[in-house]
Amino acid sequence: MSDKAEVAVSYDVDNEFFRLWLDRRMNYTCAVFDDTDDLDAAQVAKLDVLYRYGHVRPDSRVLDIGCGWGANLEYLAVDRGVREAHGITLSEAQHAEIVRRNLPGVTASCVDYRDYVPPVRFDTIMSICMIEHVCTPQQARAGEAVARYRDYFRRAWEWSRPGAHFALQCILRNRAPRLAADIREIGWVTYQIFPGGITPRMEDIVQAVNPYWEIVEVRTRREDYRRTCEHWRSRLRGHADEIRRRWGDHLLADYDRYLTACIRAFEMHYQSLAQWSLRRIDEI
Amino acid sequence: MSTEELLALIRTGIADVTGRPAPALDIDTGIEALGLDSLQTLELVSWAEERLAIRVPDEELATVRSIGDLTGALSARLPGEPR
Repeated sequence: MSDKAEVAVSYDVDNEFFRLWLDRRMNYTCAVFDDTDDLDAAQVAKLDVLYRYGHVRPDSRVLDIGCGWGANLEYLAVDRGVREAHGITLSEAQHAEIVRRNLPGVTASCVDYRDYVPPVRFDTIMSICMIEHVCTPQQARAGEAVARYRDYFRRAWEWSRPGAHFALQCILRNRAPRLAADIREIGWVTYQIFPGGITPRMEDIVQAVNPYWEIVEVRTRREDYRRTCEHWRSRLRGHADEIRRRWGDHLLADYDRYLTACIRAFEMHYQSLAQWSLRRIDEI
Repeated sequence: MSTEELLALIRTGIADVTGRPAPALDIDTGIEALGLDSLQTLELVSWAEERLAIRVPDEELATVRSIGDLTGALSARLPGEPR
């Protein structure tokens, strides 16, 4: 699991920096471009998919594990009228942003998910591109990835009610790169931008959900994530002067390099993205 | 290709990837003991694949912990080698 300091490297740069180039609600995950080329609309479309995958209703109690700056929580509360939504993040900056938004029915905890003690059981678990922080590269190399992910799915099972659903979105480690330059760029992103994390392989998730969750539906969206990253890089470059002035040349160069590496990784099938609809297996 | 020839090839590959002379190897040598991280290991496999004109399946890459694992994964794909 990425620790608090590692999470801070990834997400506590400055909320105002991320606000410049993410969408209006600050989704920092793959959007869905089925019917639009607009980033804001595509991020809502992504949340629509996960709302359906999680079988959420307005009277549902929803837990969002790794809730970022609260984009999904805001969508649930404001767009869908969900009365109770709770988010977990390990980032102080993200937690502060959620508190600042003061959303109706929304609460949030700044806590490592392994230390979270839920006050109630939830009808729906949602987790959008957080599982990438559950296993470290060293643990994956030692063959511990499935056990780490299974522990995460076990906790989600324990925190949910019988009949619950789990809407999961995650980046996938897909085809291993063979070009040295690509290997080095992916390594740079892994260790410099997202230290402590590694993207899972699809077969790891398929194994790890057992015996807790049934895979009902899964959809990959590699192309959508490439387009999302292109939008982000374009918006980053569009604010280049302001970013240089406020945070320096180095931050702009690092984030341009990172997003360029991601675009390449999705183009080359090194990475993909999957959206999963899971149903709780009540008798285990 | 004999195991000795593969070990010699891998030594050249390690030197290429790390920029340092490779130490003596045998099949029990651990990859991590050589100071190679997972990305350098992938670079080494890629380097060897290119020279041998073979490709090791991705799922086997994660199981490469020792030089013996690596020579096994490579030799299994060489023409005429037992599988």
